[in-house]
Amino acid sequence: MSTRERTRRVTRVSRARVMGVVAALACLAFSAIGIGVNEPPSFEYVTGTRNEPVSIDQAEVTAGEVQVGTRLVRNDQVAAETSGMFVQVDVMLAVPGRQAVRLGNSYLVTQARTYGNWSGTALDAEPGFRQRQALVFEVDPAQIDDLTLEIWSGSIVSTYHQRARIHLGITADNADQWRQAARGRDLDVESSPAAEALP
Amino acid sequence: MSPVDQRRRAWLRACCVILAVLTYLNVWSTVAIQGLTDYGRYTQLDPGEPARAMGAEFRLVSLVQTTQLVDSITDQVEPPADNAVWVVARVDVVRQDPNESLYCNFQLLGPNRRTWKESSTYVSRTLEPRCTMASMEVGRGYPLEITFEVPERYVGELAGVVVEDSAVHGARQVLVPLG
Repeated sequence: MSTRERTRRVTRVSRARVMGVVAALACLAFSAIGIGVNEPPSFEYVTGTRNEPVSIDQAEVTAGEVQVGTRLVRNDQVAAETSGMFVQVDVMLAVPGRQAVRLGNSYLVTQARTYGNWSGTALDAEPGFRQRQALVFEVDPAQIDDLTLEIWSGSIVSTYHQRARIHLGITADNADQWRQAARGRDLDVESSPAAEALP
Repeated sequence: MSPVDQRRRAWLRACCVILAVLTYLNVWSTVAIQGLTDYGRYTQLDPGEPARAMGAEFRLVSLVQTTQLVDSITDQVEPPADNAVWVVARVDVVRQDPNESLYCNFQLLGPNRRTWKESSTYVSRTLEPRCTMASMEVGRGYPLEITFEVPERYVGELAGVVVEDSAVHGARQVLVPLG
């Protein structure tokens, strides 16, 4: 084989390789764009208001009384104190369906902030039962306009699910009253959730 | 590079691709199979018939409902939650194969495949609710007592006690009391 022929063969192989790599990259880019365009959302919001049950994933969630304060008291002892503000939301989970439901994720959100569950508590009810639990959040008093409870069940394998979004009734108009109400106030923290069967 | 080397490299690449695809399919089929079989498949045994699982035999001796459960330490009567009743299952366990891992987890099966786990309310009882694998002798019977808390309206529709066996993906055995 002459030097010229060898060079031409090497060039041909290199060109084929380059084309293969380009084709593979094009396939990857195409599939990435396809996934990005067509990927369905992994959850949907179900919105509601305080004291009204919101149905999500075979369960009913109701956010009831909202209390604010700067100290958490458990068994007549101060469990925690904040320079911000504690918001305690009384939440009830009812399970009329046939599978137990655990709501392990809860946040308070505003347009600019997301506050995590301070106590890390979850709601858990077996079929035919309802459970009441107070969820506590530590928030910035300057950022409480339109405070909304977001709560949903979560598992290791993420599947399509519904999330409840419940507006707590704190608005820009009444936020000052909530801030004043919180000053120096103690909040009693329940040690265990209350459960009862659905009638 | 010689043609032999090129062929070898091509085979190696093909093997890598096949391995990656198989790993992906394996993971997802496992998740899918678990999702399909974990929930809602039960085999109801004949009344009094024992279940065999995890190298042991499980026999439901009795299944009774009550609204008064007495704590064996305090002697106090513990009421169930409002609109609920206690359902107490007496299960005898006989270990037959010491090489198998034995776990005693039970659920109560109700209408429409509703299930209830052992009650989380702590009430001290004379009999243990769980078996201790390390101290169980082969061939000897160990009595267990499992307490469930069930909505009152479902008490007349209970199907039996489910023997949980995490190693088996498929229908789970349901113990039915005699009579």
